[in-house]
Amino acid sequence: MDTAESVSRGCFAYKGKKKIARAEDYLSDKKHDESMSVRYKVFQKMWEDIDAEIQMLRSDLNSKVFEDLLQFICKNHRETQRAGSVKEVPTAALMTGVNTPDHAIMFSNLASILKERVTSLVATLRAKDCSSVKALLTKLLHQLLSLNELKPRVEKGQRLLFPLFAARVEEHHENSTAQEENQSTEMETSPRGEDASVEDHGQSPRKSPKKKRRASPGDSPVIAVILEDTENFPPNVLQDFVVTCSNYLDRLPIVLVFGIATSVTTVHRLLPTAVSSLLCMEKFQAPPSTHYFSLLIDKILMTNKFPFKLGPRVFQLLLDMFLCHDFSVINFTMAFQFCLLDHYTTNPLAHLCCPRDMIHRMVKNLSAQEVEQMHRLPSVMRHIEQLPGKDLADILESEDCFKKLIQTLLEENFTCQYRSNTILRVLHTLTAHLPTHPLGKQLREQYVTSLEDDITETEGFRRAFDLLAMTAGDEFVSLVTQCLNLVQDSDDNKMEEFSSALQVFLYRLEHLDEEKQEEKKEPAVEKDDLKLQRTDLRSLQKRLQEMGKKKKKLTPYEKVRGELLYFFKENVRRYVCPAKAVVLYEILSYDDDSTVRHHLNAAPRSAIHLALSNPAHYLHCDCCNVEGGSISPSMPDVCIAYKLHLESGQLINLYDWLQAFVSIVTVEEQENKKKGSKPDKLLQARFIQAVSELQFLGFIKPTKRKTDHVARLTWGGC
Amino acid sequence: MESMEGKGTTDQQPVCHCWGHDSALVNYLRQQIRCRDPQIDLLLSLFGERTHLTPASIFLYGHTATGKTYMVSMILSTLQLPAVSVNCVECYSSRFLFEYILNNLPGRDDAAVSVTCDNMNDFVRLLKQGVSSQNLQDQTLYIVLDRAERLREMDINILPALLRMQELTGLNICTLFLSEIVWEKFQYGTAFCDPVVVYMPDYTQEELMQIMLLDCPSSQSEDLYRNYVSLFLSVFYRVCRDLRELRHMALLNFPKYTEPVEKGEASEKDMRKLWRNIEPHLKKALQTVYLREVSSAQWEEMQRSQVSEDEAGPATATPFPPVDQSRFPPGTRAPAANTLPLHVTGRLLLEAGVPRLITGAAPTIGNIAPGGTPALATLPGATHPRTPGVPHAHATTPHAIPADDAVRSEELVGPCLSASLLSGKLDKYRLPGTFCPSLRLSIPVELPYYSKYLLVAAYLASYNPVVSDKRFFCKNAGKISRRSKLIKKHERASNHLLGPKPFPMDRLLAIFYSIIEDKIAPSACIFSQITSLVSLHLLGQTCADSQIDMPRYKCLVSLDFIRSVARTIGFDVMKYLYDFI
Repeated sequence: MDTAESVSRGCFAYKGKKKIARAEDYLSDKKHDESMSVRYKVFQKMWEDIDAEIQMLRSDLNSKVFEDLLQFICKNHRETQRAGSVKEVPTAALMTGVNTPDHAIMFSNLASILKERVTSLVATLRAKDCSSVKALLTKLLHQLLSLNELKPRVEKGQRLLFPLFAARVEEHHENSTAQEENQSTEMETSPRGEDASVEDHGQSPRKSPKKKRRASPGDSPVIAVILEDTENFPPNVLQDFVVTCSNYLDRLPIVLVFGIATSVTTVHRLLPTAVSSLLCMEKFQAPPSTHYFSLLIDKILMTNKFPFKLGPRVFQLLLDMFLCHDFSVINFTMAFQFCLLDHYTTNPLAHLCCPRDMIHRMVKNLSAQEVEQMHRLPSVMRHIEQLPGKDLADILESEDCFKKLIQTLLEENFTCQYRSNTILRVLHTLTAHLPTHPLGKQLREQYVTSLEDDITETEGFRRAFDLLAMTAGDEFVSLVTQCLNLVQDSDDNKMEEFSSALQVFLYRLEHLDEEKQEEKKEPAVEKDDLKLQRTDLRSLQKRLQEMGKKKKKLTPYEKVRGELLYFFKENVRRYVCPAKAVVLYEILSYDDDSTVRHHLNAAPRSAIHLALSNPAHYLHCDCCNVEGGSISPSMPDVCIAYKLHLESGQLINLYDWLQAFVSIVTVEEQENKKKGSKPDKLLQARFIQAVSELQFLGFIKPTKRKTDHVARLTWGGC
Repeated sequence: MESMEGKGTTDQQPVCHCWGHDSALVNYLRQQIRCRDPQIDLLLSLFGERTHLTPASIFLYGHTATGKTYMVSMILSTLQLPAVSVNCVECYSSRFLFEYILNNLPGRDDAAVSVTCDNMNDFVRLLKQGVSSQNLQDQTLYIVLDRAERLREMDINILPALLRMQELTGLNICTLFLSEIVWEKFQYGTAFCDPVVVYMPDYTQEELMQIMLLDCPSSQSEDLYRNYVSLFLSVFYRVCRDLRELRHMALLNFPKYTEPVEKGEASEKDMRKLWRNIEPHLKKALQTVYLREVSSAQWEEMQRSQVSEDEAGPATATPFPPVDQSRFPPGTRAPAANTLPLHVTGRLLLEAGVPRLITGAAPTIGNIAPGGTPALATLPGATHPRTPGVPHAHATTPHAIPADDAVRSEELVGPCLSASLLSGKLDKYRLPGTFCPSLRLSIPVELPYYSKYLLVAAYLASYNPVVSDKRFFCKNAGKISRRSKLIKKHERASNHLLGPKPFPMDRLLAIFYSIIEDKIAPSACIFSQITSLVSLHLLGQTCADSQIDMPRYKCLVSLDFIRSVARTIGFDVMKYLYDFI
């Protein structure tokens, strides 16, 4: 020990630089430094592509409702003025659906579109900023006045009142900028006040509102105020705000946009009739998030644009999270991004999962070690084994040959995906309308099934085809036509074959009489049998049974239908294969559902339970590693107390608990000592601390029902 | 109060009705402000001539839309009396009130430096200064405070001080308070100086008509509009006397009234025909009073679609024909669902009074059709993109139920009908406010799967007594003896009448886990769903935010709502409700 090290030790806090997490920091100290950064680059590229695609989808999806909204906002002011008699604030009630996490982005899009195309005066308000009228107006005016032209005055004009604002806006649109400057200089010279300490009462020169000079609302741009989550606004604030707006309607062309997650009745809950009669509402329905979600799956996951695929388990997990928990597409996208990221970080060969134009480069740059790894992939091994002998030898010997194989495999993957997705869509068209939905009502359900297992082997598939074999003629024709439409404009040769075959079938279905001519051989034989005259029930029954046994004669339609169904089945079998059957699936798909669950679906209660009942799981120590419910003295105190409390009922006697605690902690010394001696102070203190920790964690609480007892708040034993 | 200190300039003139104002102006005022002659006279006499000393304060009160603000502002502006008027709603702090008045004194230059003031003392001082600088000393200055009831929430000294402004400033100032509530409700504290109270009575039906005639569109003859308004008032006067709302509704429905005239089907004189044409629409409009859920444009569109549908479907004169329960006995599967076109099914349901019972039913039926359920996809009615036959639902409910949860229609018809069985029982619990007019059938909000269960669990926790939990949710809870059942029958005042009770989160989760079939981990997602239900106001938090260890909630949705939610998850909520067993 070096005593001269320090005389006094202190802890000095100093502010470091704000650290920004950079990807490089995480990548550098890995073993496969180079490969990691390559993978990271590929990841970035992939995510950029996917993200761009998602953005496009979103804007397409919302374009309709936004378009309507814009129109409403533009025209409405003129119209209400025309109606004249009653002053109503034009209000758009935008029904957004319950997926609240997605709303922020939607409203910011809306605001930017409004700014771009209708008016520069757009304010977005959130309930959390608007706990009082003052806060609301402050927020509103800050947003509205932070325009460039009005800026110099905003900084000074902290006192915000509606009339002031009205005057400002009016003035702004009447006056030229020159006058503007003039005024602002004039402002600066005006006296400053003394009570600047209070922010709101900060001294400021104020223009008196110009009441007499009224700008006709036609020439000034509309002021759009968006209330993102109307439900959460305090009713009195909203009421006052609406009243104020309607008071100034003749001077300020205000349009309100209420974002409503549930239903329009919310407005009536918030506003009394006197106030709601000041509004003129029109309802706009944003497309439901489930719709967006289906679109996302259809356009992003079920395409061949991106080689990366989610495995069945992860896909199902994400699906469940969406449908059962929040309906939030944003969360789904983030989860998808997480999967992508995790795939590229954990899989050393993931950089091969790259856009088509990068494949060649990636494969060329494969190192010897990586090639070795590739060889060991089960799917590659399986694939190589079934190659003809000569090729096999080549591939095993030459690295180049192997690389070439990998490259072709990767490239083929795109077409395979394309085919399988197309066939799945065809299958979905065929089966979606069937009663009881044997293959699921949505395409995504079918997709999961197809990923998991060979879809042709499933019970649902069989039932679906049984049902299809009973479809009526015209319905079937329309189905086939729909299918044909799906595949018609494909440029893949296999799909062209498929579609031409379908066309032939369709032709046959439509011209059944031509079919008939081939087989007019023995229809007359049974005809007379049917002419039954008087028979008793017995013989009728017999006859019917016999008839049932005889194979029913197929009509030409049934024949064609049967052939066609067989054709469909064969195609599904050929093109649609489960995720694991794809060669290189280890590289192309991600199916680590436990990691995803661990990261995205946090379970705080079970984590606490695990930590307390099995501390070794987190502490990584050997001493606490015990079997089942047993308690070892080496565990942390709180764990011991927790495990003991699991054994008790609703009320726990503190003294008994202490005794049990002491007996466990001092298990070694107990042999020597006598029982019943008073536990030592230190042990008591440790126990009390453990108990209060448990109380803090919410497992127990003090009770007055019995002295020296605590009540247990959880149920169930160990 | 009315001590007339004769000032030098006044001399008693005989024209007592005009008080020194131009009589043409006064007549103009009477013309403009209809049906308020006594009040105008009263006010003018209180105001006196420009230089007369007026009462220190006048308090005007009357219901919404009785012309308080309009009358006062018209008088002041027409006679060009010096006045400042403030709407107290905007002045959320007294400072704004003071400054607004000071900065808006009549005659004040717009460009002048704004005055700041944050207490009554300064206000009085600055007001004196302002008045003298504007040379207003020899006239009465009027300060109009609209929505004066808000003043009660401000500092305690404001109202008394404003009442005696004349005394405090020693100037000729009259403060006018406009409010919807009576003066007695303003009196608290001390130092009150009673104002002159003027009551604005409600308009009578004739007066309303007289005023509403002013709205007559220029393109139409006044006789036609007069007839229309009298018809209109005969329907609406019973439910609504708010002039503003009446004017709005009248204008909204007028085009409908003139439609036959424009089409040439009826003449303007043919009142009977016109009445028959407009009556159903007015009755329907009756249910939308005050709602403003549709703008005029949307309303017109709705009416248009209504017309086209009426032409398409079997014509029925009234929107709600008498309820005919015997058409198909409740409980049996309706033959209609399988054999009739969908719009007929919808109509039958409507006729059976179902939408009045279950608010969610009609839109559900309406929305299934485009999604295409197997049974109905082939029916002729179902191919219409917009299903006719659910007359009141479609225009207001574009909210589509995603195909995942669209219930098959046969299943749907069943519960609908059985609901009519329950109706007697349910009506007992229906609070006046929960009745949904058919125009705005409350749409079941589309919720995530577990949220639905959480909401149902919350409803059960809110409306069932704690002691009954064991019986509903434990596997082998003992049967309840007949006697205790009887006792309960009596004491059961119904939890539904008493309203939702708060419950702790633990109980919610315990019920949630016992009603949900599949095993799920108590993940953070579940907890965050509770919060998001709170933010959607489907649940309400009854304790402060700071109490995090045992938050308590209340379920805020109605029985109808929870039934429609429970139906989508195939959960029979009625079986678990203590009130209905």
